[in-house]
Amino acid sequence: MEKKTYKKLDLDVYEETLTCGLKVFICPMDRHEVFAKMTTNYGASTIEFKPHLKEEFIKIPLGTAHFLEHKMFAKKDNRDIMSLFQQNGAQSNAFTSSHVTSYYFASPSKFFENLNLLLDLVTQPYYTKENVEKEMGIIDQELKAGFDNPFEAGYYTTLLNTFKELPYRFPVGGYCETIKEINPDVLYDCYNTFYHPSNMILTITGNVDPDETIKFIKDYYDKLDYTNMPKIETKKYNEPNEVNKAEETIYKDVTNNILENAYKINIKDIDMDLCKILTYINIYLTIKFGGVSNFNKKCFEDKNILNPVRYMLDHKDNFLFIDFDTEVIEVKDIFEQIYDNVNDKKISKEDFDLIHKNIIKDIILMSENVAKVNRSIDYQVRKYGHPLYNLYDIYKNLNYEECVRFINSLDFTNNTRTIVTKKTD
Amino acid sequence: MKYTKKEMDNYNIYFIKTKKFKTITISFNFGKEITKEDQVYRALLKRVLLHETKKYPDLDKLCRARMNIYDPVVNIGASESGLDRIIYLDTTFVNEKYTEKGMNKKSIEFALSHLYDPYVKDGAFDKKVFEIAKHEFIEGMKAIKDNPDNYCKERIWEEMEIYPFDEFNIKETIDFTETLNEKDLYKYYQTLFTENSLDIFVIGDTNEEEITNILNNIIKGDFKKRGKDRFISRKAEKVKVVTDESDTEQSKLAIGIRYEDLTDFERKYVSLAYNNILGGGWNSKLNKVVREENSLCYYIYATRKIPFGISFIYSGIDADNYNKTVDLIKKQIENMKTNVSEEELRRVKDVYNNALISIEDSQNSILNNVMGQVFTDADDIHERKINMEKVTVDDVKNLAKKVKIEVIYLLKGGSNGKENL
Repeated sequence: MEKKTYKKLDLDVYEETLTCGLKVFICPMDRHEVFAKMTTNYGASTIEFKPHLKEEFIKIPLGTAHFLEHKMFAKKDNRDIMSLFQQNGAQSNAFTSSHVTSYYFASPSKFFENLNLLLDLVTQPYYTKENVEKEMGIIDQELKAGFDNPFEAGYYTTLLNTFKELPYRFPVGGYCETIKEINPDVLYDCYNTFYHPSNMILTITGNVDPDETIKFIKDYYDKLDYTNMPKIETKKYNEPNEVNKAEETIYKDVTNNILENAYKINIKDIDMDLCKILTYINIYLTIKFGGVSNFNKKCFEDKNILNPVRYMLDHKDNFLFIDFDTEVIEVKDIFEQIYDNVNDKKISKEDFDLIHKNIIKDIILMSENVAKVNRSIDYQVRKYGHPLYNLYDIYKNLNYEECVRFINSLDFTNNTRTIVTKKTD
Repeated sequence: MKYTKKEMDNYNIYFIKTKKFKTITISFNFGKEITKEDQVYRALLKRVLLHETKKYPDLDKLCRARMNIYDPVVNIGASESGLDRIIYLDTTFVNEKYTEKGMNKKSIEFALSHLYDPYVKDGAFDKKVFEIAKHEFIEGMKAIKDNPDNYCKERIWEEMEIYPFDEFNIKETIDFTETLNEKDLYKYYQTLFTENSLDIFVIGDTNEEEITNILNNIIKGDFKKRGKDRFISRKAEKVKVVTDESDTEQSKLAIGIRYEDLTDFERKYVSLAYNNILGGGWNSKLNKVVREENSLCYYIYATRKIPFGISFIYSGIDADNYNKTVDLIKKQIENMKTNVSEEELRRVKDVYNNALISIEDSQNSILNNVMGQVFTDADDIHERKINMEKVTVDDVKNLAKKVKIEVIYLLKGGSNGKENL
C-alpha cells in the first residue's frame, strides 16, 4: 500500500492495485461514519462491445446497465443484500450514469460486515428469467416517472439532438419498450465483461484503519478466481462535430415553457489537461451566468423568466456538453440571449479572481465531508486515471491570461434548442 | 451534544463548541404561532430579503460582495412544528482560521444585513423587487401541477385539513397574494421584531465572547419569550377518497394516516418505529409487498410528520393497479396490529442508533438535534438511544390500533408510455 497525500487538504490516501486488478483507495478521516463505494467503469452509454470470451461484437438493449444495477441485488441464496445492509444500520444504494455504475454504503458501525456485503454484491451475479421479468414492472414505473417530468423530458430530447452516434444520447434507463428485450444472457455478457475487478475502483473514506481494511479486501479476493482478465473492446463511434438536430418542440401538459439549450464542443485538439479545461469552462460559465453576472440580474428582473438560467457541464469522449435550461412564460428571444452571452467571451480579471478565490475555498470544504471526499477520489480516478493529489496547487495556479486564451479558442456556436410546451388539441 | 445558553435582554444565544469542522453555522430563529397568511408572507419575504440590501441594492453587487468574503451561504426559510412556526435565517461560512482574519465578523454582518439593513424606502420594500417576488411566487403556484410529485404532496396536505383553521388552497393562495403590496410585506416584516421570539444557535470553533459582541451590536427588537412547541392532535375524520386527473403516464398515490391519542412516549419513539416498520426503507412491509412481491411500483414509503400527528404514504403506480395497490397497503396497515416481529423492530432500532451516532458528523444534524431539545420536549442523544431501546413489539401493535386512514388521494395518469419512443 502506498501512502499519498492531498497537499494542503489534510487528507492521506492509501492506494493499492490488487493482483486481480482492483484499484483500492482508502482515506481515513476523523468522523464516525465510513463511506465505501464500488464503481465499475461501465455505464449506460456502453451498448456495443465484444463480450468476454466471445468473438463477435454485440449490441445490447438500451437501459441494460441500469437494469443490471437493479439485478445485482438478487442473489442465488436468496439473501436480500439491501435488507442486510439495513439490518446493519447502514444506508446503501446504487446508481447508474452514462459513464459508470456505482454501489455504496455509509455507516458508523459494523464496517467489515458491510464491506463484505458490498463485495458480495458486485461479485455474485444471479440472473434468472423469473427475477429479470419481475424487475420489469418496477423499472417501468421508474422510467415513467422520469418521462412525466417535463424538465427530464426536455433534457432527453436535447441529448438526442446534440449527439448523432454516441449512445450517450440515450436516457440512462433506456425506454419502456427496450427494457423488455433484456434477458439473463445479456446481463451475464455485460457482467462478465465489465464487472471484473480490473475494471472497478473501490474507494473508502471515513473512520477506517487502512491496514486492516486492505488485508480484509485482499483475503476476500484471494478466495475468488479472477485470473482471466477480460480484454475490454467497445465500439468506437465517429461522432460528427455538428449537433444532430438544431431544434425541436415537444408537447407536455405544462403551464409554462421549458427551454433547453445545449452546446457541443470538440476539445480533441486542445493541448491542456482535462482538469484545467473543465475548471476554466466552469469559471467562465460562472462569470457569465452565475450570481455575479449581469445576465443573471437581467433574468431576475425579467418577469417572463420564471427560473434563472442554469447550466450543467459534462464531458464524453472528445466532446464538452454544456446544457442550459430555464422556465419562461413566453419563449421570446431567450435562446438568442443565451447564445449572445456565451459567445461574448469578455471576462474581467476582477471577476476571474473572485471566482478563483472561491473555488479554492470549495475544495477546502470538500475535504471535510466523508461522502464528498469519496466522490472526488472516485471521480478523479475515472476521469484522470489517478487522484489529483496536487489539486490544491492546480487550482491555485490557474491564471487569468491562460483562461482568456483558452476561452477565446473555443467555438460556442454549435448548439441545439428544445422547447417543452403545452399540448394543443 | 453539550451546549451553553446565554440569556441576552430578550433573546437567547446557544453555543455548541466543536473543533471538528472548518465552518461556522449560525441559525437565527424567529418563532410565533402560525396563521394561514404566513405561508404567503414568508415566501415573499424570503425572496425580497435575499435579493437586495440597502448597501447592495443590485443582485450582482450583492453576490459580488458575498463572494469577496468567501461566499458565506445565507438562507432564509420557514418551518412549521405543530401550531408554531419559525422563520429562520441560516448562515454557514468558513472559519477565518482557514481564510483571513476578520472574516467571521464580516460574514455575520453580511448575513444579518439581509434582516437588519434591507432596502426600504418610504415605509415599504423596493417595489420592483417586491413585484418580481410576487410574480415568481404566483407563477410557481400556477405551475405546481407540472411536477406531479409536488402536486400530489400539496393536495394530500390540503385534504388532510391539518390546522384548526381553514388553510388557503392553491387558488386562494394566489388570490391572497394578488392583494398584497410592498407596504403590506414591510409591515409583516416589522412584526418579526415585535411579535416573535428570537433564539440564535452558533456551532463551530468559536470564541463565545467575540460572537456575542458582534451579535449584540446588531440584534435589536422587542422579542417575546418562547414556550415549547404545541403539537396538533385530533381524532381522525371519516375516510375521504379524492381523485384528480393528470396528463402524465404514471399515477401518484398518497395516503394520509392519523395517529390518535398518543402518549408522549408513543409520539417520540413508538410512532417512529411504527412508521419505519410499515414504510421506512427497503425492509419495510410496504416495500416488500407492493414493490418486491407485486412489482407495482418503483418506490413506496411512509413519512412521519409527528408535530401534526400524521404520516403520509407515497407511491407512483399505474392507474390500472390503483385498487390492488390500495388493498395491499390497507392490509399492511391492518397487519401492523397483529404481525410485527422482534426482528423488524430490531432493524429499526439499529438504523436509529446509527443515525444518532452520525449526528455528530454534521454541523446541521447537531444543530437540529439541539434545536429539538430547546424548542420541543425532544430528549438528548443519550436519552434517545436508551428510550428507543425500551420500545417493544407490543407497544408498536398497540399504537397500530390508534392509526386511522383519513385520506386516499390519487393523481390519475393515463397513457401507456408509447409516446416515449
